[in-house]
Amino acid sequence: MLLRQVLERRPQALADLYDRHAPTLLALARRILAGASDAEEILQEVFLHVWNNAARYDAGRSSVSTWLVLITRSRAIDRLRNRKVVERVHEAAHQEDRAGHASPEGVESVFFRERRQRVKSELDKLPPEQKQVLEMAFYEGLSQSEIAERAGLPLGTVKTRTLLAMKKLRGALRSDIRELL
Amino acid sequence: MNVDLSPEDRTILAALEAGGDEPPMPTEADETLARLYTEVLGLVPCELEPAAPRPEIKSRLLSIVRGDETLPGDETQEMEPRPAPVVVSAPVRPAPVPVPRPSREVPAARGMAMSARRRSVWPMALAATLILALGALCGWLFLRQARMEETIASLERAMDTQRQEAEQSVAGMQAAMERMRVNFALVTAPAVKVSPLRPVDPQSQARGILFVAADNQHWYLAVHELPPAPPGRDYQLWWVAQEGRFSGGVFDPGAGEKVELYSETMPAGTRDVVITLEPARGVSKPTGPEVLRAAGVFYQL
Repeated sequence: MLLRQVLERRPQALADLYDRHAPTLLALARRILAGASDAEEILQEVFLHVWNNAARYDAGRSSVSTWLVLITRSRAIDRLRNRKVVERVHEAAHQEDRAGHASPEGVESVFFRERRQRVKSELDKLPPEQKQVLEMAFYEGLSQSEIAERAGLPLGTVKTRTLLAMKKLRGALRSDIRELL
Repeated sequence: MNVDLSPEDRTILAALEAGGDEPPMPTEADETLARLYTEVLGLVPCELEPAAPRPEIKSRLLSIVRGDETLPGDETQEMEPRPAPVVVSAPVRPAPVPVPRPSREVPAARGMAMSARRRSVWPMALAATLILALGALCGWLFLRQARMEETIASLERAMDTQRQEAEQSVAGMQAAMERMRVNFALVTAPAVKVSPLRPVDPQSQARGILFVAADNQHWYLAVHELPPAPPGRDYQLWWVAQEGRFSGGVFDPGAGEKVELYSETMPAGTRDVVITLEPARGVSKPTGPEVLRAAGVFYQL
């Protein structure tokens, strides 16, 4: 509904979409880039992209929130690769995680807070080696071969761990996925 | 180590490495599977603690979309990240080689996007400018026409006034010419009689001459050097006949002006002419001092 209004060039609809998704998308961009300034730049680019390309959204292929996540992830990873400082940022990202980004009260609705707890809980339930390859693939945009090379593991092992992690998450997050469809 | 991958496995890996080439045309089942794993990926960042962007980010974004600011670099031509493509039987592809893209410089795609936006705005701006200019031109022409019509009406009024004045002037001149013609005919007629008028006061320079036509009715009197009448007084012409004195008219010459009097009637038996100084607008019987008097004789020229 909001995206349809964005398509009709209604700035308020974009503002509403921003309010709903910007905190998660900014967290994602920060996680990938480990730089608040760059992350906010990416966030702005993402919503400008949405403003100018809302017609390209295909409701049959993803939910709006997933579409936004994938745009943000793609742009942040592109930015990351362009800097060619993947390792350094990876380290910084962990430091950032340790430092934390306290969200101000009110930013996160009860609904999103519960979803966040479920997703975090399910990710934490994954064996560390599976979670690691999943994070490297998702947050760093590394291919299976690159993960294998960096982790010093056989490619087949990396693929197996990745596939297992994804399948477990699919099963565990079934209710959330159903809400998105 | 090589792993035999099922279609589902390929779909999962393709979803993770999405962002490049078009996948093969998926079957309906593949589409569903791809959608499921795409949504899994969409949920992954939900684990992160949400972060509130600075308020100015939103303000600036809205300023840009409302047109208050120029676009900082919207990459509309950039390949959009796609939801998970569905892989049916294709081997796992390595991650697409990322296209180097300067993060701080404005790439060509951004320029193209901005140009496209400008292209879409320019015709509207041009049309609006033309409409405004046309409106202003129409207004200016309307005002100009109104002013010209006003000027034309004013000139027509002035022309009417001048034409009336000219007509009056011509009529006056024609009347004067007619009088002159009549007087000329009178004074040049063979049977005209003439009587000079002389001042009663020997110091006065005033003088006059009276022309009387043969019919003893038409006459013409010319008086020279008669000073202007004092305030409240006028000069009055008197015909002196057997029965008494009859007024021939009242006049007051300007300084140094010649006075011409004429008429088509004269009392019968007139034998003399006298000009006296009388109260303004004249009297029925002479009361004032005589100023000019005829000699009492008429000469035949």
